[in-house]
Amino acid sequence: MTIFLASVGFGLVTASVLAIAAVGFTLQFGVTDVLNLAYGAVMIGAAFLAYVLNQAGLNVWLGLVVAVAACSIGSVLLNAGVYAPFQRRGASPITMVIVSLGMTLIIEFGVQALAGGTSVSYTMSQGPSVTADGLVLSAVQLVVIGLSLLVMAGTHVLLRYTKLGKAMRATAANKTLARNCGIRTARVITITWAVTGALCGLAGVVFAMDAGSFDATATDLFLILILAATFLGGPGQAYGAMLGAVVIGLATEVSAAYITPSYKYVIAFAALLVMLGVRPTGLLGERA
Amino acid sequence: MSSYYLVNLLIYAAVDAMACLGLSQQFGVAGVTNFGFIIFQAAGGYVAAILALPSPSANGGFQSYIGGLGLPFPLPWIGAAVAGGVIALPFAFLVGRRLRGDFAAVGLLVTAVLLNLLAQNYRPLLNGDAGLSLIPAPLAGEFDPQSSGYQWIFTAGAIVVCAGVYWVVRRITASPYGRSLRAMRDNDAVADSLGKNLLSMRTAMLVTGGAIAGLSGGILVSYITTWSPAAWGYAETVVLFAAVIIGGAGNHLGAVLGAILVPVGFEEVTRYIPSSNNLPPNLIPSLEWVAIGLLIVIFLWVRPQGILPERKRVLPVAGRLGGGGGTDPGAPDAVAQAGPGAAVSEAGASALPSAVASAPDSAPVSGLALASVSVRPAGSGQADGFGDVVLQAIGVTREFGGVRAVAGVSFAVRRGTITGLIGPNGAGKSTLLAMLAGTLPASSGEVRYLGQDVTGLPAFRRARLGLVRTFQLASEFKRLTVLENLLSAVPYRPGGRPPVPPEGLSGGKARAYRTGNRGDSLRGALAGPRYWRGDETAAIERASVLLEQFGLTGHANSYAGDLSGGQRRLVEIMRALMTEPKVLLLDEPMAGVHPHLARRIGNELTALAAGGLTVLMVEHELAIMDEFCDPVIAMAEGAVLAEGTMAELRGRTEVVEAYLVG
Amino acid sequence: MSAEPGAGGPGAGASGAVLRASGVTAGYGGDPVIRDISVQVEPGQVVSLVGANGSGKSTLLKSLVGVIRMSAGTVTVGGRDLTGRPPEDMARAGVGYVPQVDDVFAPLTVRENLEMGGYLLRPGQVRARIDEVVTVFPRLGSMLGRQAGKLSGGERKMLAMGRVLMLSPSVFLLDEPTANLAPAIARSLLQDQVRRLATGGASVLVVEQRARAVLAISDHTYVLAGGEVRMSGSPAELSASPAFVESFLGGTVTRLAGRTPADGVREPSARDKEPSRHGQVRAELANVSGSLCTGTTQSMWPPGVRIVKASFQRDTCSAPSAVRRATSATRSSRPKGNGYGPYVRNALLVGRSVIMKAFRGYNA
Repeated sequence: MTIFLASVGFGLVTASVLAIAAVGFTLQFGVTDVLNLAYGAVMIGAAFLAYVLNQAGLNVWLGLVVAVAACSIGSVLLNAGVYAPFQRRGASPITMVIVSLGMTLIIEFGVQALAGGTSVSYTMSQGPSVTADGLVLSAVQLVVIGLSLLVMAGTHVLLRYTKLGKAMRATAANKTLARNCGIRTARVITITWAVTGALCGLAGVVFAMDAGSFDATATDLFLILILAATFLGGPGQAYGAMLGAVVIGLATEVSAAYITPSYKYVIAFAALLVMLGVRPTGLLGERA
Repeated sequence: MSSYYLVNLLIYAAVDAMACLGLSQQFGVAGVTNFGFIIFQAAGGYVAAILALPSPSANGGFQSYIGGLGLPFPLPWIGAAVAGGVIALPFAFLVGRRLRGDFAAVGLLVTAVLLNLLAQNYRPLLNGDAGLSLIPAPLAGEFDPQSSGYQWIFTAGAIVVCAGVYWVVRRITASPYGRSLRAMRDNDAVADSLGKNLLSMRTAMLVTGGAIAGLSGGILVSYITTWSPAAWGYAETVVLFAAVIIGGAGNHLGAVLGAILVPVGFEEVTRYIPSSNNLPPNLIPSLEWVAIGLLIVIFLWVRPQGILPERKRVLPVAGRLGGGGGTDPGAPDAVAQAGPGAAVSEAGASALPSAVASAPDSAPVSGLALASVSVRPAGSGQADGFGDVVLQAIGVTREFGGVRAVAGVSFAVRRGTITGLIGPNGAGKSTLLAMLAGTLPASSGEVRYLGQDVTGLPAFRRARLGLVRTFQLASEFKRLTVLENLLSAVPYRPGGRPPVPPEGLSGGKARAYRTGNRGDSLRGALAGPRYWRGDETAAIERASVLLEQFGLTGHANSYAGDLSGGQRRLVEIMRALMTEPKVLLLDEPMAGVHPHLARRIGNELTALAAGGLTVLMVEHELAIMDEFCDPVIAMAEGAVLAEGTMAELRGRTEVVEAYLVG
Repeated sequence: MSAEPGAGGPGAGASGAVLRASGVTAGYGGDPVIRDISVQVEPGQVVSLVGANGSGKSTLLKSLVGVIRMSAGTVTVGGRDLTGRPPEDMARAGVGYVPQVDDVFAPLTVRENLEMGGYLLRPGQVRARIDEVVTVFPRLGSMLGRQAGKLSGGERKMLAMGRVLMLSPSVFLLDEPTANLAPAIARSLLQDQVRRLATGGASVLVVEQRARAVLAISDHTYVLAGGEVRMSGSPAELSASPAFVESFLGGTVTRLAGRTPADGVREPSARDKEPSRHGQVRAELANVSGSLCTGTTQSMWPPGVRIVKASFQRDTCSAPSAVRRATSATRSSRPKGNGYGPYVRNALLVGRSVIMKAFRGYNA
């Protein structure tokens, strides 16, 4: 029972990090139609930026804020400089994936070249732990869960209640029609890159906090969890990604407690392949 | 440069070139994007290692793996190739599904990552993270693997195998089968409608590429004598893709060049970077990856076709038909001597005449018949039953999300007619056509063709039976020449039995009558040009007749994608005729065609119909219906309204109503 | 009938046009699908574009709103030159476009769809404007919370029009609003909803396949064929013209006029050979002309419409009350717009009978 509760605790934290990342990833795909596999690389870029600032003496939470802002700008530039030109030229989805893989190599190994190949960790206090019947969560982990809940609520408010969010959903659903309504979709797409880039940066830093120590290739596998959560909920579906993140996060950590931890990703792998093979539109495939 | 280093470089080059050739065959030629490619190489490596290694205890027991077999030299390499091919089979499932390209890519990429993860973590299988080592070099017992002579011979062996692989993929790509693969790459739905079995072709390419990758893995393992998950991370696939894209996808020399430039070149170039203690440990490898990423993105932007673009395959157009025999005098002999296939062909030939006599339905309409229609006695077609129903729809229905696009349509098409299908937008004409051809399954109802229920048959099977469609939207194979477009439609003829030409034909004409191409299968392709050249020559002659008839001879060796809209429509119609159809389903064949040309098409179709071809044609240019179609079927709101001549239909209230009121 | 195609609607004041397109040539890469098309829409008018499949109607609309780029020609809206502007600018300029398919945001609710329609309004205005739109399309009011993708075809089209109405555009461009709708729903959509859009001074340019139904609500009609304007005129004029029907079914006029078929044309059937069907119709029509609606005939038709030769079939124009309604409507609506609407309705009844007669070949 204790093992189970402890693993649920881990699962909640993983799910929280995953939810932030997956919501950003799925929104990015839904609105911009780019399956940006460099998302994980951008995450680790954010994590290392926060690390550099942290090393320079800045509080890691302030570093987080800077990294989020930098990622937001960086994602806008990534789109404007690379993806958008290819899309304007009418590149096929498969070409876009190859381009995004190229960008993955450039960003991820660019970070590695700058940061070296060694694992690093933030200088930060884990804070007091909260214990409840085997379920142990540090203050940092609680903050991560809180941040994730905040992001989910914020995403919900954005998509349901703000003009921008509705314009994003409208653009995702039918870009031409959105333009016919007078929505400047190019601007909406740029803002989407900024918003999802910020989520990506946030996810990167909290991922690094959760992982404890990380190196430049640390998000390679995490990207697969993101993909699994995204496809489980249906690509482009923000609520689907939240649901997918919870399912995948809990499933991987709880299973890790009972079978070898090394296999925890296999669960995500199976989920993703089954979804791709059986229902590529995901569990919540029809709603936005 | 030490000889050891040179050996090292050459072997890497050979191994990478082989892998790139396999990938280029899949990605560049057949359009199968396989982001899990590295798995095949990995499997080959592991299998070669296991086959070569002694059983664990004999190896000192310091590494755990499923158990070695200690087999002698050629077996590990052969096993590696077989393993690569076999492990490719389940991938046909993912690639074969109609998934968005990027989704399928993600599926394959993730498969590669997670198989790597499994291999890393499950020690009993392949010694986990540490991998297998001390793998005996080939013939290590007989010779000293460290000796310079051995190294050079190994190198030569690797290069010979690589050359062999090059020869095989060249042979496949240059054959009619290779042409079908490229047709599938350019437009798979159309290839399907022309009778190409997409699943079989994709599976064959996955297996072929897999076997090549497996073999390359086997050779690599016997050289480096160690194999671990670190050697086949998913990023290695990206490197191979980079090599193929940079070298030129679809060009085998380009693949070799890419292999030399990217994986090997990087290895070589970084050697000259002075190592300094000030540099961070991982800087150079990291920068290599960055450079590969940059190369991918830059090449896709600046030169997406690669350094060596795919070669245009210029084929000589056959001369005038009578003299056609002169174009390749050796061909008939080559066919006759072609070994076991020829024996089958003899048997088939003797069986055929009776079949034709007993079943007039199956009498093919040939390109030559087309050429000689004008002189053919009109009675010949009528004698074998003009009024026969060849195609019949019985209560055919199609629903899209509860909306009935076609609601219980029944009608019959008689042999030798050009039947028109008209109706306002949204009447369900194209949907009906798609269901008749099998490109769209019917929700209910039955399609009968030549008296046989074909409702459950996929499109390519119906096409092989002679029920062939064209498409409303542009559907030419863009990166095939016009002539290749036509040739791509020639059906595969198993066993190569040449049908007996009709009476009165002899010499070149008789040869041109022969239809089908034995080279349009993997086996036929591997058997080599001698096996299929006769069929190819005959097909080119048939195609040349058509080209001349439709006035496109001058464009025979232009890329179909470079033609004007009207010319492309002609290519589609000619291509459909090359399949030797018995029933031709045309979806707006005259759309965008100059009226003069439309008339010409109509006249050709009329001539063909007199020869026994049946045409069902959707067209909105009603003047065409007036001129060429009888009867005409009018549809509206998914149902048949009336059937009759165009003039009769104009007199029918419901038809007029449908057009004006909708 | 206007002498040259695209010369404009009746009573066209050159400066008054809400939407004016001239010399529009456009396509999807390759050869142009439409060539040198000129149309104009006057305030308060319903102008229709009809023509056979593939005649370029939808392409014209798409090029007018900037969804596809035109290679030649100009578009002015309310006197402003908006040639080559992207769709979002056209929306801002008061052009409301309803595409034929994908006309709503399927994953969004009805209310959200309307909000997107009112994207350019100030935030405070949106709610009030939704209420106004709901008064125009009352059925939308009861389904504001439903997901647009789950509406029926007719409801969906209503939503699409309501969405466009949010911005109170000066001109509506509707691309086959009745496509894939059942005939009864299609008719009511055209007669009730589309016509309603034009109340309050807005104009409508509607592309339709159901030519006759749309003629009933049009003030002016352009007939497209082969990417060009084949003819244009008031619905009454067009309905009475055999050439109009010909543009849909082809070849008819040749037959009607009793001309010998062109070389290579199949032998016409026995029925086709009947001499001069058209002439016979005319003769018959002359007999019945005006017999039913004597006295009202003259006032029913706007000046310049040569409808004297038309007939009134008893069953289609049976109700003198309809005529009365029409004439009274004429009077009351005259000052507003061009006042052609009521004429049109009658013209259509006439047109219908002419066409039917011409086609039935005297079986009826």
